[in-house]
Amino acid sequence: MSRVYQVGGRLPRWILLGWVLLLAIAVLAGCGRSPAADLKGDPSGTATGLKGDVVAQVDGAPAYVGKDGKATTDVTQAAQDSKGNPVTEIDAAKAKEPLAYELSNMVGQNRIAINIVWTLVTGFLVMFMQAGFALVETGFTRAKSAAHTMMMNFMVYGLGMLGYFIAGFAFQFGGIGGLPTLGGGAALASAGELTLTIAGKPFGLIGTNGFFLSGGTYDVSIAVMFLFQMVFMDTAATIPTGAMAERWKFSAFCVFGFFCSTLTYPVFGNWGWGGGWLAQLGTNFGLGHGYADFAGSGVVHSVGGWMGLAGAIVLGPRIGKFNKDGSPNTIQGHNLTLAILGTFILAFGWFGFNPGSTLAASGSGALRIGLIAVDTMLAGAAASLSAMLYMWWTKGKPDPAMTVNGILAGLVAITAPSGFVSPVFAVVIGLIAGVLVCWAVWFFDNIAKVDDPVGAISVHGVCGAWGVLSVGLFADGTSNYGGAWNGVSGSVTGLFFGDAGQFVAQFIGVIVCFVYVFGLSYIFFRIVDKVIGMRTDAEVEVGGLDIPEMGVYAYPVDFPGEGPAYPVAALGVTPVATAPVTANSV
Amino acid sequence: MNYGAKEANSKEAMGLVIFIVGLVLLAAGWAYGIGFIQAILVLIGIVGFVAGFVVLRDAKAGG
Repeated sequence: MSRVYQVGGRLPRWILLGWVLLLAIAVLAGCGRSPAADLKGDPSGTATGLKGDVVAQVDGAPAYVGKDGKATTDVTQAAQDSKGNPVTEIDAAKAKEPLAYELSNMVGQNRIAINIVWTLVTGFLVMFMQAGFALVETGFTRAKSAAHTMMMNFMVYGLGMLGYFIAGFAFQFGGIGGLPTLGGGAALASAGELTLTIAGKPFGLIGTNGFFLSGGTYDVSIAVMFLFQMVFMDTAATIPTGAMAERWKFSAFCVFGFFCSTLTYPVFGNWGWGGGWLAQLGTNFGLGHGYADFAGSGVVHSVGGWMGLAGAIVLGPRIGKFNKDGSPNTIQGHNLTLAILGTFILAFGWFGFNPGSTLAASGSGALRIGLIAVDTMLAGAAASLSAMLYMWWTKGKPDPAMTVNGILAGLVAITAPSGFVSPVFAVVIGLIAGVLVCWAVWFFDNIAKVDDPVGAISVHGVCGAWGVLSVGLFADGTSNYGGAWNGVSGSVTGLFFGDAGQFVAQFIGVIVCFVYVFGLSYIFFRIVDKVIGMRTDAEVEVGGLDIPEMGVYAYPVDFPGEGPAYPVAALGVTPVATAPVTANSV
Repeated sequence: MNYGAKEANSKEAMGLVIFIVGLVLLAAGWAYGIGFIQAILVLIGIVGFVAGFVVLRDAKAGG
């Protein structure tokens, strides 16, 4: 093969050019012919959020004109217009009260506008969490590979986003059946869900509408949903970069970026959030409200953690992590300041992650966003405290690294229950998460012998699973997001508040998440390892990945302390001249 | 500038481009209904997908 693909030769360039042309033709030819093409989108935004979005929000009010001419709340009893649509009271009032009619349209659009702006702004906050992850992971690893760790965190954003645009979003939400709080989304019709029917019960597997956001999914509501969900996917995708840091080949990481964003994450996301079979556990088997994961302790964090676990096992530990007798060594990160700054950024971004998951700030019980934000804060605070006290008690020092992981563990754990539990139970969930993460780190170091440089598997995988289970324990039944969840009327209620079935649904979700994500990721990483190679050479790893993989150092070559150690001269690299860092210059 | 090609190298970039385009063609062929053009796209996509891996494998040893 090396004879064919000579870098810089003429043939490969023609092949590449032809390939890109084919790509353009495919995408252009496909636009407008997607399965959702019959359902028109609203790319202008002028038909999104109208009178119907007001009528539907006035709980118990007579919204329709009945066949007998009297007002009714029952759409099946409503009179129909020439197109077969139910006649609303506002429609009937159009001739007599034109101003009221126009005002209702405006109020409807304002309501949807509030929800869209809320969802976008919280999505922007979640996007900024990528910066937090980059700083935490780089701070907790060594300086000699800092550029490599930073670059993985940076590029997972672009790789993941494009993968999600190509196919991930369609697989996850292509059959969700509309986006009522965002005023549209009809093209994500439930008929687009690929469903397996067993014993008369439907099991949703993946969605099929929304590839390339084309056809009917060229729509303002769907675009907002895409943006919000894309940054969630990127959060999951960036978690393994911490667990696999300091030894992962960059090209293998790039392939992972696409695999994760097009397949691993979206498929489980569909099962939990896209109307898939885990969400249907309530309607199919009477298990509470089905798998309930408000903002993604399982769908986002556990998925990321179990991908990281599979990758860390396939890669093996960093050189020097374990002694010959199997005992672990602590490999100190190079910059706790970066790690703590990154943690604050993550905690800030979590105010987008959890409250934003209502996809609304107006109507349908969305004002619970205040409680969701408070639950988020409290769980993080409680977990940082319990982690700090646990380490102080058992090791004699308030270990900053574990305290940082403590707050992250609490935030991860409260992500699923944040929409369903009271502040008191948010604190309980956080306190348990803070200790749980300390035990989990010890377990992976001492028992499982898995090298996870930043504790990502413990924080996201283990505490994510705890968060999912805690919904099944502590959900108090006071939430009301449109009066139903996963097609089951009423509020999500946990074991301690009377619904044992909800706990069973959560437990099934945790097991399925681990088996599916870990299993698929393990197979994928093994194949990549066989074909491309997952791990850098030992010489490269010991010297640091920055020059061999990135071509640059993250810091000046003569940076003090444990800096880059790669034999620069041997590679013929000409480092950028920088002034030496001295005590006087700092 | 010599970036030092001990590990990453330009052949990997070429492999990634072919891999990504193959992925896009595969998705495009699969997404837009059933027909001759779609089948061709899926086939080319699969070939590209595999070819990308082959080039990446070839680049494994550095270049």
